[in-house]
Amino acid sequence: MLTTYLRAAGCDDTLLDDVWQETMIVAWRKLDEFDRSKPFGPWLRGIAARTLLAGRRSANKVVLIDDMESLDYLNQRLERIKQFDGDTLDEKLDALRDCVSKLSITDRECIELRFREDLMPAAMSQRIGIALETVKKRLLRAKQQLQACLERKLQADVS
Amino acid sequence: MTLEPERQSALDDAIIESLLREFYVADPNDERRIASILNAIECEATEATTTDSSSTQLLVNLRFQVNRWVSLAIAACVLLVAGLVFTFFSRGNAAYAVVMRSLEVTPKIRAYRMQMVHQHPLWGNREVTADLYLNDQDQFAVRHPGWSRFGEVWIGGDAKSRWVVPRFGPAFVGGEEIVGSWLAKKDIPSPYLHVSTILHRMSRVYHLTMNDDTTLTLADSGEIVACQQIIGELRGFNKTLPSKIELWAKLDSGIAQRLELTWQRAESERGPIRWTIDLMDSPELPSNWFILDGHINEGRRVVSIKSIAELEDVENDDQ
Repeated sequence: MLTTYLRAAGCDDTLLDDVWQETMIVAWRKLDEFDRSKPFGPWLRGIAARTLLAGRRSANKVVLIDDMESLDYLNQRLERIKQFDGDTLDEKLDALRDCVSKLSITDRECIELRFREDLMPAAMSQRIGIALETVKKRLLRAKQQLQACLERKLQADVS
Repeated sequence: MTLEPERQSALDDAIIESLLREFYVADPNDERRIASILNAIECEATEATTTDSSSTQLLVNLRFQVNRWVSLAIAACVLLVAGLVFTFFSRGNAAYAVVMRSLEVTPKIRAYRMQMVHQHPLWGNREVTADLYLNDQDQFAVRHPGWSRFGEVWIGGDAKSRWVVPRFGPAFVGGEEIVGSWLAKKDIPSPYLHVSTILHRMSRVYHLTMNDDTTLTLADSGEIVACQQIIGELRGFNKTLPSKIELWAKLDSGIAQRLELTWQRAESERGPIRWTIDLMDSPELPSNWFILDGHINEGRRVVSIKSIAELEDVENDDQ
């Protein structure tokens, strides 16, 4: 979840490596301060958020999400994802797997080209042979549907 | 939380994108990051043990050194709790990770069946089955049948003290060393009573390898479950430690389901040669199960022992 969090905050690979390592070392040093009655994930991501903001200020690194309020919001949303069944993130992603399988063929194709093959929309447009604007719309629609699907699953799990 | 709806929407989009990346492409850098962080933490711990060798610091440093590997184990748990998946580890690290995960996910109250085979130069191999109960407060209680008729004994305690309830005579309480000495006289082993101790030791002084996933028939229900199997072989030689520890951890939960300990021992020596420790169903236990009161009748004499000599006096008086 930590890498998911840092990527969602806009870290590129290099920054993610730095913040990940710093977060783990700080967590190790401060483990005595961790309140075991509380969930571990938000605590760790809280350290990551502070590390991220401190690093950005000190080294002028570019982070897309650079305010604590937004980082807190990401932290809370990811904690909700943790409610899905499973011990590992991979198991928790079964819910997303199910949601992806429910997308239309054209929307799923867009998602797979973008995230499995790491193609940018322009390259996707050339590959599929449709207008760039259509690719962008399909991607947006697909992500919104996935978000809604996950939300429904979360609501169902809670109830 | 007073974020604008547009901002929330952008953040939700960022999460979906990040999840989709995790979903489609496993991060190839996870193993490198883990190796790097374990190295960094180990270096930090090593520096702390070597930078100050003054006599006043020696004890503190020694304590730190003892705790160092425990700290590393905790650090590894941090990594695991952070949601890292075993398949990203190299097989050696994965074996370590399984042991650490077993430490992390141990249930609050556990019952184990311990089948112990001990060697004796005169009597040959003797086998008994004991019951071990542990809780998350580091308390334990063991019913050991003893090696002879009427030899049954209950032993329990925590990090500070031990209590013993023999079949006959007074029950007594005392420090770990005193009670350990009494148990040794009765040829009843105590050093490995705590499964966590075995797992910690396994992570520390054993070379770990990971076998292919396997199945295990559970001792209580007979159910066949998928397990990860870790083999720990003792680095160097120490006749008090098992030469080999095998761990079967349930694949879905990581819980240590079986531990098998094997000692290398000359035929002329006495002592344990094989223990098999199986996790049983979580039992409903009375609240006083882990203290002396749970195992003695009202009016039973209880003696607090301060020294080994005092213990011998009590036993002689009783005879």
